[in-house]
Amino acid sequence: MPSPIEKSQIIDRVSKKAGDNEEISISCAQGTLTALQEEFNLPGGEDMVKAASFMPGIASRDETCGAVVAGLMALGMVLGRGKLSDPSYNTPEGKAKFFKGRERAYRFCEEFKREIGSTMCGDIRMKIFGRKYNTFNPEEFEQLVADGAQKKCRVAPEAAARIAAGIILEAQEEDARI
Amino acid sequence: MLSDSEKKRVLDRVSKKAGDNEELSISCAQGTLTALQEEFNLGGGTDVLKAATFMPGVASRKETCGAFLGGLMALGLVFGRDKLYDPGYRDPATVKEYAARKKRTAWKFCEELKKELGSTQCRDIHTRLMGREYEFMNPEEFQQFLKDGGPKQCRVPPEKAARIAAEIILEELEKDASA
Repeated sequence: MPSPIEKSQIIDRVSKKAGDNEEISISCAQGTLTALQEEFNLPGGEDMVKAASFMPGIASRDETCGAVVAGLMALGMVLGRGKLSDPSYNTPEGKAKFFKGRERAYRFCEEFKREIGSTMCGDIRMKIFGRKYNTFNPEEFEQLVADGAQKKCRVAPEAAARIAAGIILEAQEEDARI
Repeated sequence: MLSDSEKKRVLDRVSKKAGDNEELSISCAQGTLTALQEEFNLGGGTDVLKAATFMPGVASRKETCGAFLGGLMALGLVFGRDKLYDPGYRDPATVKEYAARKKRTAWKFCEELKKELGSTQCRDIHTRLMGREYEFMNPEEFQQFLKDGGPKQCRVPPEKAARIAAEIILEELEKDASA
């Protein structure tokens, strides 16, 4: 298991990577997801990146931030269920495992909200830029870029990746103890 | 190209499948996503399905309904980008095509589903379908949801989400075929 110093290094590295990815892609969802995929060798590859394409602001509609959704996707890959149903899901152990995973996913969102102030893209942009943007309007999208979105929007993926990584490390540590 | 009756069969089938999946899994996100994956042979397999595990209500927090997120994952698998960056992405024609057509499919999906369900938020949808909200993190509340017929009542969002997403996918595939 990683030492506390190694954990801190992992968390700092994945957080920076998520911010860098945001700058490259202008996608908080794909930026966060890819950083966590790479750090923890999560499966899914490019399909997973594709699946996250339209998550920012729930299809650019000022709703749930893509970094939150992508963090949940990564947590799902580590702690989630790969089938619609299975006899093991109905055992007391199966239920307990699922509830534990869900509690961690819940905690991820609440910690993000506490740190960033909201899980909603419209609120987060208002806090960062003092305004909202309709990114379907090419002029508004250019304005968002001109206002420094690539750098300023690092904050959400950085926070999401850091919080999710902390939770993944905690879950891995707990599994290793069992 | 599908005839109108074939299209209708596809839409009815994927919609019913999404509802059945909801009853089986009690997950609107996984139910919607799997129905669309199966109907259109989308990639991602069980990895993408796992990734959708905690989507309902954004981690059971009564926010965005998982049927929206499951549908958006499917649309991403069809129309999305598989890289963080590619020099071609900055080409003006590509920028226009991506914003005006690909991203627009996701926006249209959300707006049409919102029109049908009255909201994108799980809390509003539960109130509309079941007359109340549920605190899913409380096991007793989850049991109450089951007693109140939640898995049957909550067929509606996946059924509608899968139908709308499938309609959009068919429409766009048709445009591609006739281009």
